[in-house]
Amino acid sequence: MKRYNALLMFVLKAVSVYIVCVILLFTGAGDGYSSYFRGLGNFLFGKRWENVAISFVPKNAQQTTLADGHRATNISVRINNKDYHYADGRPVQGELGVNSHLQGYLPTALFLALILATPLGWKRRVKLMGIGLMLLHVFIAVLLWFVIVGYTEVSGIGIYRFGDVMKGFVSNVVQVALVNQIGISFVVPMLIWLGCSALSGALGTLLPAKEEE
Amino acid sequence: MTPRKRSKKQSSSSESLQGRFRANLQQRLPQIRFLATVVILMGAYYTLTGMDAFSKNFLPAYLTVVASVTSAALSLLGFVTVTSGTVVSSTAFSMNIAYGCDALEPTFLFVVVVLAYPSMWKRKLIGALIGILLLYTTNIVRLVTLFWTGTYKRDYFELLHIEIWQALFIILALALFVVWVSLAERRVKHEAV
Repeated sequence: MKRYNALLMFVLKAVSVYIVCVILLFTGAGDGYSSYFRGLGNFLFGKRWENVAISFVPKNAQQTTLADGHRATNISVRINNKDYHYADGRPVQGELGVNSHLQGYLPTALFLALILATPLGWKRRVKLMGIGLMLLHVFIAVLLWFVIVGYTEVSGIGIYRFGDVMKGFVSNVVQVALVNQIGISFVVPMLIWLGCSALSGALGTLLPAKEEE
Repeated sequence: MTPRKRSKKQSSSSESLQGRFRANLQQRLPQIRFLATVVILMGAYYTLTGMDAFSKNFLPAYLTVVASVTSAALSLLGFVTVTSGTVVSSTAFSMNIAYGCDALEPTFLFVVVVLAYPSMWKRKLIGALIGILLLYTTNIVRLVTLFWTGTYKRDYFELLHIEIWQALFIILALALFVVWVSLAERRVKHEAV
């Protein structure tokens, strides 16, 4: 059992850090992160497309039901495509909900827990953390892109006019990413951590120390 | 320094940089191959799960089996439950085992990293099979604890369901992988001696 001390310590540290992050989520950090997530969404997509205005705003609490539990969306993404109008001249608007906890906070918390628990020097750890967080943000951005584009395709206020094949692909990604949201939110940070630690050789630090000859 | 000498020095330094890059790449080739295999196989998994054959045929049948096993495990603990398709219910609580509660994703991730790791095929297959059994059993334990929480501490059900168990499961799959790597490498060393 002693051989596995490094691994055991890694698991204990990762679980502890993750649990601290979950506690923080319910004691104010969740609201702070939600505000950051909206800012990120507005920065990335607000004026991404000509003629389409997108804004990430806090969701009206009355719109979320208790039955949705933690899956309830806490951010509304309002999409206004100026190319489309109702008969009375008003621009067509669409609105969809996203969950900053599931799509951003928990994956980030899991990645931070894994990287902080990995037995590494602080310099290497900070470097890997920076690379990992950047990749995680790319993942969040790509996921949001698919969600927005997928929604606008389905709702008829399309940003793009995709062919059947692309429509099917976008719909599949949205299906995998949103219907099974929980899975991908935890698998992706794990893959990012695995990539960072395998390439830097950090994965080897979890293996048992070699026995003396 | 004359321009000629400088350009000679520059080209030799660029060659040494290229050489170092190549050596570095060569050194990390096994890790890169491992990661590329993991990414490709996970991509294949997500493509597969997007297909109708998976979502309409395999998944409902698999989830029904998971529901039956969970119900059997609950009855061992004294709960009186019935199953109807993917729903396990008692008089106090009812739980639908949906896509995402199947543990398929972390199990597949575990199998993929084991298969991608450079080792003997026999060891990979044994490791993957044992891992699948352990993760399947853990998932039943997870579902039993969720049912218990839903029955007696309903306020904590979603917290346990999403925030806690999902991350624990992934960390467990990772720990199993590290244990398997250490056992596989230990055996290689013993055989070499």
